[in-house]
Amino acid sequence: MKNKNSNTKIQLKSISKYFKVEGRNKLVLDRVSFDVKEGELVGIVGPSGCGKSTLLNIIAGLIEQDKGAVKISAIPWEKRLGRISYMQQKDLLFPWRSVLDNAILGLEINGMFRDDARQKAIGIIDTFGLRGFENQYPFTLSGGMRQRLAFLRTVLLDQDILLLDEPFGALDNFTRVKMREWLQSLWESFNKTIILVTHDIDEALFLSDRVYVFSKRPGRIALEQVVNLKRPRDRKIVISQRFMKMKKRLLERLFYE
Amino acid sequence: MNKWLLPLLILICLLSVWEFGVKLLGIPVWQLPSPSLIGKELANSSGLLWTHTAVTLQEVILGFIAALFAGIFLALAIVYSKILERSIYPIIIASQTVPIIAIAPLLLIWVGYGVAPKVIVVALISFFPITVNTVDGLKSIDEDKVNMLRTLGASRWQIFTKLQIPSSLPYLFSGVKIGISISVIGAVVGEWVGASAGLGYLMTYSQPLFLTARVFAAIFILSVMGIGLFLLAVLVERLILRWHFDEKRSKTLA
Repeated sequence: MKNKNSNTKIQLKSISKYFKVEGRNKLVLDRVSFDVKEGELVGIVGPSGCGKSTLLNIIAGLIEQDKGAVKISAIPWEKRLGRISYMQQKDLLFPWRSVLDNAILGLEINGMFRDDARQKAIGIIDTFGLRGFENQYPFTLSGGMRQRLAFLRTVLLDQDILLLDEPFGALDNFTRVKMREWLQSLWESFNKTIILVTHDIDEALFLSDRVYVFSKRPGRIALEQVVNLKRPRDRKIVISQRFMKMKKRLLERLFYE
Repeated sequence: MNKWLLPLLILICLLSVWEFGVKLLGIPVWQLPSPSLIGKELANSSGLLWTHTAVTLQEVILGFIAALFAGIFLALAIVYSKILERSIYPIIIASQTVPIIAIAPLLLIWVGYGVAPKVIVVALISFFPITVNTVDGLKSIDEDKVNMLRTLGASRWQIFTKLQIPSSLPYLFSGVKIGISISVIGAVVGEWVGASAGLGYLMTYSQPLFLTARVFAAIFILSVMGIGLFLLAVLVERLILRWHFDEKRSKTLA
């Protein structure tokens, strides 16, 4: 594992959230508590509708929880929106902007001049495999490239915390495996605190330091799995004994109900 | 080139039937002049026709610009104010059932005989498709993209300029294309009820004198004007929304 200090970056204390469905309050998140340390990558897996995305929306500042508290170090709670990077499953690219101009959207919003922002994006565009496509429109890109571009847009703002909501969910299996290896190498060079929500157990175990399994709605933590596998992890690790053992434990918990 | 061939052939056929039909049946010129006679009239009276064309074109352009601004302004007001949406929007829609030709004479009483009433009629007839389409465009905004912008720290104004305006442009252009093609009708209607110049005036002036070829010449110029303005709108659309058409083309190929 990489050397990380033990400062707590995100602290969730008994978060609950209700949604109004047909006039009645339905519980979607039930007293979810966990901490994420600085530089840590925490995975969350769970069935559809277990409130995983809702939790990320709360942390990002798009919505507020009904009960409980979230503490994020160095960021005042009410000012967190815009200071935490958040990438969703859909790439949400703007078809009228070129690849480069999609990438710099966040920088532009935060007042950087377009030319400076473009320079900054070009500086790391190789890492994202988009060199040579700077002036193309997004529709010319493949699914994997679109997702990497969405990623570039997300990380260019250089926030400490990165929330990933099924970032590779829309991709085919082959591309997904390559993307998770790419994300691993990226994360190692960037030193960010990441919460990764995914359907894919392999992806969660492969990338995370810790994985939480959420129960069906209302979502609560059903299991915590520490993944102490050496980094960088090789793609063959998914068929190793230790990996399989952890995967079995997660699967049993996921399909327990 | 191929897609123009068939309509062109049909047009030539129709014109030939007209040309020879008129001659074979011995229809008098004052009733229905042949296409060749209308062509001759276009050439012989070109100076006169051009003078009146310029007047009508000016009314159309001024009226359409007014419609464009009014249409966009109303659309913004409707989208950003729930009260206006509930109050003004139904009235605007209902107003379209009032025949424009019934309003035109009233405008003469209110604003006189000059260019103004014609410009107003053009604007009244053209703003509606622009407003309705722009409202649809502004409302079709993708909430996921709004949230994405919010997580990047965008203000409401930035969401408006960076997302809402560009994504509503294709809708706006649909409205513009409809509005501009019916704007010529507005100018003619305005001129019919009272004018001293313009192609519509020329028609009402020539018809009682049985200068039928001249009436047809005016009609011909009016349709050329309408088509020309429409094509101009299409051209501007292609230039501004290149991404839109490139994307559409790539999807039809895929």
